[in-house]
Amino acid sequence: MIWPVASSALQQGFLFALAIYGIVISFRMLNFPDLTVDGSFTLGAAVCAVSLVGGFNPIVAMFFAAIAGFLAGTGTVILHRKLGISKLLSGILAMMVLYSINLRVMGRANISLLTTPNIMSPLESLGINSPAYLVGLAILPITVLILCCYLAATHLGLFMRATGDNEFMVRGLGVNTDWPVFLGLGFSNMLVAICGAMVAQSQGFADVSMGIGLIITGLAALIIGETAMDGLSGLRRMIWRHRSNSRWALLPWDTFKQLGGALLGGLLYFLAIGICLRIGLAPTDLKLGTGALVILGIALRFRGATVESYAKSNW
Amino acid sequence: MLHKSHVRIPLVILTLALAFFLLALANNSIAGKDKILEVGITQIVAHPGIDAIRNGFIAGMKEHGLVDGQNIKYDFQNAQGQMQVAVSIAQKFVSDRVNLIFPITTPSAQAVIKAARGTDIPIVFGAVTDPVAAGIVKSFEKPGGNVTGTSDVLPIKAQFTLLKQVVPDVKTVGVVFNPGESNADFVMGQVEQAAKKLDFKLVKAPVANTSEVQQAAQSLVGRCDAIYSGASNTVDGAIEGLIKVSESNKIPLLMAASSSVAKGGFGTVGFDYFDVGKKSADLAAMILLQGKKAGDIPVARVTNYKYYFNLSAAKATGVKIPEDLLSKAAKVYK
Repeated sequence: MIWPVASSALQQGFLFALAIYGIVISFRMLNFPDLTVDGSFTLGAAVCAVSLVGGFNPIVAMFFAAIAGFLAGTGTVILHRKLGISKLLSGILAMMVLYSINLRVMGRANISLLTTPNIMSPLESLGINSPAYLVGLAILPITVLILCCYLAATHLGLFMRATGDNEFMVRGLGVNTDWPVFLGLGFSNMLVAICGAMVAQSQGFADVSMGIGLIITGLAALIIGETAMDGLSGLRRMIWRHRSNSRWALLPWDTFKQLGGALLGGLLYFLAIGICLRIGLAPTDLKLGTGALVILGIALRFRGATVESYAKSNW
Repeated sequence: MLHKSHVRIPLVILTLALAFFLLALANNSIAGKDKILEVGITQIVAHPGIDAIRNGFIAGMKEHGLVDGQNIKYDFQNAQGQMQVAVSIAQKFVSDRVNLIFPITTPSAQAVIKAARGTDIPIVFGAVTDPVAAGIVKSFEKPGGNVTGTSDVLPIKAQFTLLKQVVPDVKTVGVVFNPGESNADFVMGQVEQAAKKLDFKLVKAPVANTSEVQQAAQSLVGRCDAIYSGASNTVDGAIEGLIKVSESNKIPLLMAASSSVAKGGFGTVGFDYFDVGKKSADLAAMILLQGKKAGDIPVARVTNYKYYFNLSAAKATGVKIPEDLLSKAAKVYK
């Protein structure tokens, strides 16, 4: 009884991990509350579906989706940086515009991929409920997690994170701060679009409304993940004393904590949905249930770790 | 530094919460162990038409001797408009090994097909307008796989013929529809064909969600002689806005869905969504009771079209409905 719930949560959690990474990168690292993702997720799915139906190789189709997502992200930055529209509003505008673009790209509202061979087909031949399938699904999010941790410690990565942390300081050093935001948001939306492409192939169709609510899912996962990571690092500190002077401290733990938290948060979020479905919650109360979980996440964090102790904890 | 007590409180709460969930899970699994048939019903949103299909299905099953709570158990789920949830629901049904899944609407059906692949769970869908284009079945006659169901293609040509009978001098018809719905492409293709055949011009007013419907309807005022409500769940969800515009500007309103005629619009020809559910129940009974294979049963269509009229709305928009049609009507609202 517990395995099917866990297996479904792990599948969905791994599938959506990339989108949640993207949301963490924009919201947390770049300090840019980017609402484009609802649209770029569907854009990735749409571009991938159209390419697949057009006979392209799945890898190529995913590559097209990635480029489309990157462009969507940079589009939002252009609205913000070059046309002076506020961050929130540029995201909303991009999301709106992308709805029409997605319909144009697909030509209709729903493209079926049930009979089109795609990147998930070899994985699915292992059996949808087998552990091997889950391991296969985990490869991409874990690779991207390691890649992002590596990138975060490079010059460019530090530049981006510094801009997100304190843009005035970076600008005070005489550096143009438009570039890191361009690249960062492009990268984040690229991850989201790749995720959309993966999800479309996994669920067997691309639909113009499949991105609706993604930002909510992503933010819920982000918050649950942060709380869980706080709990974990508190636990670690109880067992394993402070060792910030060791060479471990040189690794980009912050990034690892943020993105690892995103992965964990996504898994917990889908686990919560699975449990809500399972305990016979009335369908109308489903959102109440998941909402309660997010509130629990925030409240635990607020009650558990004071702001001060949170600021001081360096994992 | 984090105080120990600060860590302990959330840990305790978390453990308690987890224990509660596990208990609930265990409880649920004990309750389900009986020789009762289990059927999973999944729909993408709550909507009068979709709910009617669900109720029709349950009523139909009852006619076949499968009574809710006695020898059959239903598991209703609603994705609340979120596709990720539709996928989770589908996976839940498959892992529960239910005896049959009844997905209503295209995305729910697609999610179920994918999740049930490789298992022997039969699927009977309801209200998928174009199951071939949706990749759900190979053909209407021989669906293949372990799938069959009921298509809810509206008699669009008959509806426009009715419009011509009732409003003979109509030249241009305004259509409010949502291009983002999975069946929009198919429906609008039919609308265009019908318009061509009956020599109408079309003015399209697309919407993306229910809050845009009234404005879209307003944009049609002065540009058309009649409005068609577009066979769209979105428009049906905000049909009041359309009715308001039609009545205050005296533009006849042809309804697409029979379920909306009670609210306004002079009328339509169509089917009762309840019957779509009942027809699906017939298919489900063939599978569950007679042991037929779903993939061998042709996709059903509801073909007993009926007339529905709303006299007060007709009067408000200056439409006179011929007596011979009124006498044939299945339902006339005063």
